[in-house]
Amino acid sequence: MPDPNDITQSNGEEPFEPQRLLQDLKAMPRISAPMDFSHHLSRAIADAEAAPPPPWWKRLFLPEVEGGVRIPGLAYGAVGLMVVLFFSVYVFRVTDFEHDLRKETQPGHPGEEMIPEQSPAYRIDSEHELRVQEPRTPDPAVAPPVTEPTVPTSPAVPTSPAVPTSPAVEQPRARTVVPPSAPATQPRSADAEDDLQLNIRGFFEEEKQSLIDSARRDSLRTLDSLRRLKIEIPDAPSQDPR
Amino acid sequence: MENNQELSLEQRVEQLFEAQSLDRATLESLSDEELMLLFQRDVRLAFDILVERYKNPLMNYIFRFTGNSEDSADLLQDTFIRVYRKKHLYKTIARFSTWVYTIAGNLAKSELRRGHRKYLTPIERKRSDDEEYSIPLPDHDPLPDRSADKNIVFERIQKALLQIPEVFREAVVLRDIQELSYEEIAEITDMPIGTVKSRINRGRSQLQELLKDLYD
Repeated sequence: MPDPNDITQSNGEEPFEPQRLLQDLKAMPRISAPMDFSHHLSRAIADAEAAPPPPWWKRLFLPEVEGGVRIPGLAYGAVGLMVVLFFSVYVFRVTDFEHDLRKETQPGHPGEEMIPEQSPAYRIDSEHELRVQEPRTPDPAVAPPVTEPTVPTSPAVPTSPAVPTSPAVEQPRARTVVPPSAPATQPRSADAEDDLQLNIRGFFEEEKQSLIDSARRDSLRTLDSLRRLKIEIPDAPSQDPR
Repeated sequence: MENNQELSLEQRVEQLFEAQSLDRATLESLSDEELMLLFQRDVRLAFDILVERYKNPLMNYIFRFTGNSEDSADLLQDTFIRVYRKKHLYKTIARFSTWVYTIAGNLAKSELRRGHRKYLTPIERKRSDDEEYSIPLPDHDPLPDRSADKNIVFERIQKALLQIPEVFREAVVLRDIQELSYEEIAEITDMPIGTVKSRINRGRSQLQELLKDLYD
């Protein structure tokens, strides 16, 4: 019967090569089991049943599962190592050696009420010396919920900006950056107004020359720049700013 | 559906077991799966009948796969010993034929990878009259010359089979020599049917290439 899954099909006349191969494969002689196979098999089964079971370590490391697959002993070794590792970590965390050591070396731990305190030795003679020993009660354990409110929390360093006081500079009125509401304007008195005018006039008298020089330098620099750009500029009548 | 079938199979075996009507003629009429269920109840005769049914097909399969008749006989013995010892692992959801072919195939592959074997209970290969044991080949051809030619062809095919990769060889032997269905081969090799078909075709192509001179 032709097989639809075969790679080629015969055209009905001469068998094609794969077809001939398939025919030969099907016609290959059938190999039979030995004549006395059943007898030997019975004996082998009897021997296998009579044989002592494998030692426990062999069964442990090479358990046979379905299909003849054997789990390697390495897997058991890895699992055992992991168990030992986890157990070690657990024991370490439970015992907490470091904490116990710290507790033992510090005074005042629970169970110790008095600490003997000794003074330096005062030598009386070559054979005798005097030392004062006094038992002291250790400080009670700190109770954070009780002590925390008593600790001052104000900053040791002032946090407001150190701005030099000057009448010309607006001083911050608050510690926030929010501008204050409209400042209250107070009418100045006539004397105060006169003082202010005098101050302004005096300031300009002192600074007049430097201001004029600065403006002149700026103008000359601008004119020079324009000339470099070849822009015709009519000569202006020279005026002495003074 | 499958569950009902399994249940009826179990029930039938249970009835047979309780009726104590386990004579050879009755057992030979049972299916492989029923025999295996009876063997799981320690009916040794059921195992013997299974051995009778499968020893020749399995021997042929193992020999075509390994190419060594002595190793094949020992592997066949190992296969049945494994069936005997692992009978409790068999589940009726699988066909007995595919289960036993899987065991034989795994043992044959392990043998090929190992390259050698140590026999605990070797099969005696010499007869009582010291005549060398040889595997009997059936001769259906009346003409001696043609038969000799055919034997040469079969030897060439067997050598070519051993040259192709194991996965292709297994598929070709199961399909073209053992004449199993694609579904059975898929169960034995634990592969999808598409993969099985692909492997069969590739195996045949490689065989054809190796035997090009034979078919010119």
